Amino acid sequence: MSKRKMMSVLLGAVMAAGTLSVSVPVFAEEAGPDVSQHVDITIGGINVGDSESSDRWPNEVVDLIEEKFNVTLKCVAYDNESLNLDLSGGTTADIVQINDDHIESVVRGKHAVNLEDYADIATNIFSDDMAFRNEILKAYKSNDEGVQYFVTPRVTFADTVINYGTVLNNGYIVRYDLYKEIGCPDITNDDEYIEALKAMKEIYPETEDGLPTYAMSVYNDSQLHAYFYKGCLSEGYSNLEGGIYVQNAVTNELVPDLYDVGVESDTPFWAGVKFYNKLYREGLLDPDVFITKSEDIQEKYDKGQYLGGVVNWYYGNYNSLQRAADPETLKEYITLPSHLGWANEKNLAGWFGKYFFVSSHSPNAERAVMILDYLQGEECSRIVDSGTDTRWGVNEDGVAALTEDTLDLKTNGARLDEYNKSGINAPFLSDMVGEDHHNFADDGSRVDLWYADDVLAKSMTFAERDLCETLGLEIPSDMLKKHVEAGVSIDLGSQITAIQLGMPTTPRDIVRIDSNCEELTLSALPGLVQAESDEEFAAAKEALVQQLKDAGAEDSVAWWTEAWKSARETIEGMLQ
Amino acid sequence: MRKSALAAPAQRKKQYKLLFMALPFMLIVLLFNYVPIFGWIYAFFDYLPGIPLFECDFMGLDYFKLILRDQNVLRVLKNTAIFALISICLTPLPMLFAILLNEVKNTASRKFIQTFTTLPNFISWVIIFSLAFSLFATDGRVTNLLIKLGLQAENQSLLSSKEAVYWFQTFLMQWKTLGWSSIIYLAAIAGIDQEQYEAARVDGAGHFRCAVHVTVPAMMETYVVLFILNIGNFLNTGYEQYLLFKNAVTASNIEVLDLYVYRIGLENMDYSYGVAISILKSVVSVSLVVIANLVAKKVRGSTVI
Amino acid sequence: MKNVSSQNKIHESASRRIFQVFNYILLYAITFICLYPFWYVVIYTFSVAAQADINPPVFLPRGFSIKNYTDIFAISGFFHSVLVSVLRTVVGTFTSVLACTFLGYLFTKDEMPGKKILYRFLIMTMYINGGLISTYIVIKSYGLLNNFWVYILPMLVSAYNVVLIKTYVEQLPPALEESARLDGAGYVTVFTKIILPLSKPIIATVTVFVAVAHWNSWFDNHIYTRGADDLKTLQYLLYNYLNEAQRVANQIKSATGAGSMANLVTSISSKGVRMTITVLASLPIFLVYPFLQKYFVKGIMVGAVKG
Repeated sequence: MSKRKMMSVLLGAVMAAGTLSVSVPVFAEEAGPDVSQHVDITIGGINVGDSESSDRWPNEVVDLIEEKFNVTLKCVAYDNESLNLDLSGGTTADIVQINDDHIESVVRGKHAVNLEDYADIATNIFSDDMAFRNEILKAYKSNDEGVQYFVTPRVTFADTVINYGTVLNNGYIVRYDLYKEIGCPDITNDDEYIEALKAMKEIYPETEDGLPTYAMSVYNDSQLHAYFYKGCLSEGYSNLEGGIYVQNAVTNELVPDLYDVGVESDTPFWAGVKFYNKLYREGLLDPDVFITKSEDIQEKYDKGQYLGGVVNWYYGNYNSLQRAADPETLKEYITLPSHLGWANEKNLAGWFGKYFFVSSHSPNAERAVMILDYLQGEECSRIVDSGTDTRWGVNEDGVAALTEDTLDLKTNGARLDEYNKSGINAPFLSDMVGEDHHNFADDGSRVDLWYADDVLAKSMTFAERDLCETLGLEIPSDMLKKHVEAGVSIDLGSQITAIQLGMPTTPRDIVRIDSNCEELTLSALPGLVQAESDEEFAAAKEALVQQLKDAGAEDSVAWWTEAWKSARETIEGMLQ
Repeated sequence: MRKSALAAPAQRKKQYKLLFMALPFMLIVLLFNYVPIFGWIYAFFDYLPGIPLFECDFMGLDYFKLILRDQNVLRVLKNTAIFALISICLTPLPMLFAILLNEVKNTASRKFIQTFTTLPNFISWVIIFSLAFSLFATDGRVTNLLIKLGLQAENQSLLSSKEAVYWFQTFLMQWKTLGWSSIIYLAAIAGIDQEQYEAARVDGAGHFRCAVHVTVPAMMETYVVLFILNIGNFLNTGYEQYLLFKNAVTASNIEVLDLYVYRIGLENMDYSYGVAISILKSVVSVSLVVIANLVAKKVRGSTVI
Repeated sequence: MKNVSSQNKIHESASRRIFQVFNYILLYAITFICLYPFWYVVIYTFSVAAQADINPPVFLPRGFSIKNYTDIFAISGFFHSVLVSVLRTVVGTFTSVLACTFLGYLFTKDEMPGKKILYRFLIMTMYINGGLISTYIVIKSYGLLNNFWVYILPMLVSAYNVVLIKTYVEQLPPALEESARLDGAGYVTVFTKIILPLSKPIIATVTVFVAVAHWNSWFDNHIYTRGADDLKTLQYLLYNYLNEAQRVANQIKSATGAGSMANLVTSISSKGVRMTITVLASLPIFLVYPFLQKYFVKGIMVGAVKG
């Protein structure tokens, strides 16, 4: 009897729900928005590439999204010029990614839809985990309207515990075979690094092809970046765009980088310049240091002409070429930790300088919101980082993990085409999805399964394994862990990146001053880097600082300090 | 004689037919070249692309005043003037090249030279930079050659020489454009009535005198017209080449006005200021052409445009 | 010719021979300087990438591979973009050369009312422009965004080319036209029967200029027809490859995502691909120029037209 009674109650409830859903618009929500019509959705991103010119687009992940939402997805590149035009003509792509330069135009020109109007679709965007990020964007990226137009990618959640990954990206780079030959000396500062480079050059003055070797060069196509970023790593700062101001990674103070009057220790830029100057005086610096651009640097890495470096961007080719020739090669560049390990970056409000919005001019705004929302969610972040669900499964503990086949896929050079097709860590989408690699899914696995603590050791190359054996490590990034424990190094754990999001738009006259300061500094570089003595260096520095002062650097410092102070106060208040 | 022949029909009755035939084309010019000039209004506002103009603050002449205060302007103008003066001095080169090429009587040789000297025109500056790097970097092929010849010290590169920048960039520009620019003079030579040569030879003129007395005068008209048009382009050097070859060493010497406008408008997003400079540039260009035209009238007795 | 004294002739031929030798040396030296970098580009594109990157070729390719070309031909939409480029070049060149030639001729007519003003009005377009944003808004208001004609119409009348033609036509002996006019021929008849045949060299020149400008143009595609995939021209398709490196460099400056930079930098297309683009970009000069060169070689014979 009771069973039957229960049944009837249940039936009644179901029927009632059925009637309800027919009579009120709740029905629409249950069925989800209409996607029966196939549409094209274009994602335009500033300084991002064209998906058409990528051999990794489309891929399994893109196919999945396209099918799910009945769309054709495409990414197109914007530069400042074309974005300006599309904004003035009201002809932007459906979803657009901009940087801080365009926030004001987009909001005041009403080019973005108010995402809150789509709150019923955009459940990922407005999930509780994203609340802090949303609050920041409403407060600071809405021209004081208090409305949410934008979302940021790669938001780190409050409860996320970040690991250092398998290898470090940036720091003191060495050619491992040479480094091993000189006895793997411990490197904790620039001087020790230069000593190691000297020793390496002594045993390897020229390449097998007879080309001279150098410690490194500078990528000149990114203005001052190579200089201040080097200094950020050795002095413990992170840079704001342009590097004219830097944020102390421990105290979160803003420090003027170029015009360092009144700053006690070396600021990143000056530390960086000193470093290159030392290399120059030791005869280790590439004589083409002022003319090499990214592609020239990559070419010289390919030829094995550099012994070291600062960033891991340019030697990937060399490493894979060497591995292809001999899977058990020690000839590979690896990164050793510098004072600041560029890891444990907690982007509680997402990445700075990448803001996505849905265009109000889009004929398919609703679909665009659905896709943007999907990109923001855990499911999409997972597949973009780890591949579609054929690439991973649930293990005995009920936790998601990559399959052995997938682990092989990434390291097996013979399966490169399949890897590219899989969409794992493919360009475009991996810079768009909402969640940090390290975030935890409901089952306790990381969103990016490659960052699972037990996978880290599995994706090492022969040289990396050799390094671990030699130095008694589990994985290469343990070097940073050791240094942090020993108090030699720090990571980005204490840095509050969200403060940068709280900065107001820089006024025109300050932008002009900063741009002139950047140019003056650029022109002063030869005199600094090629100074033959400390006196010569000091004189060149004094001359530059005076020029900066004349160019109005003090006005700029005053504005930035004040703006930073108030942004920091409010953001820190919000965090408590 | 030629002028007098042209002068006669000038007194002829005005032909409105001609005007009507020209008007459709002039309408195109109006629509695509003149209507957009309304954009000059942006120089008087604090304009942000994407925001309706009426919502932007009116700035009056502030941006024009800024030009006078801006210390970069003088420096970039100096650079622009140096590049422009050098290139103006070199304007006869394509004409000279055409004359020399005209002296090559072997058709195959001539075609070969004529075609292959235009090739650099098709190599974009991005690639030129990358070629220049492999030739002129400290370990480049040409650098090695120069070192062997004792013309250059080791570990030096033309690409990072502050002093050589004007000449080196001019050389690259001439290399890229010489063959291409000479086409127009080759056409002018081809347009010379052969009877004039016949007549000159009858008078006992050799090849050299034929060139001086027939070929050169026939090209002069084209040369003078292009020269005057070029004077107007004094400030329009373009920016691509200079942007690519700019580095820490060359920066202060290579920044020309167009590159500066690029920096203002597209890197600093200072659109209105960029427009203000463009307006002044246009005014200077037009004034220069008008002056050059007046000078030409004084010297030759007739205007060019 | 027969009047020339034999002594004079001998004297001349000696100095002339010396001149010729020097002339050949000089011109071939210039040709070499112009040709070699291009040749280097060509052999680079046919080299095996792994060899060329480490040891650049000198006179012949390092190894032999057509991979760069197959890579480029494999770009989706490559052949369609070739078609668009050819179409715009043909239509654009034909219309623009016709328009400029006719207008250039009209401007030689002093009896045209307002000639000076109109001519100056045209010349001024070389020195003033309203800026990109207003031009874009104007083009949009004409309904030309994502429209094939946006390739053709703005380039239809080129002040520079009109000047070239006008200058040339003015050089022609006026007597020819005068006599035709007296015979009762109208302006259009004079233009087609007398001016066009006599102006072959300059028309050939302008044709080369316009055709190359159309073929090499990517900016209008970048600005006005970005939204229309079926209007994508070859140069724009290739431009995206050419400027990848700069785009990545710009991205480095915008701070975040330092980890993913390595991924981006290695994804920059190879030097070989960019070199191949250069070869493709210069193809039209080989296709068009040799055909038009016959108009440069021999001077015109006014008498021939007269007869």
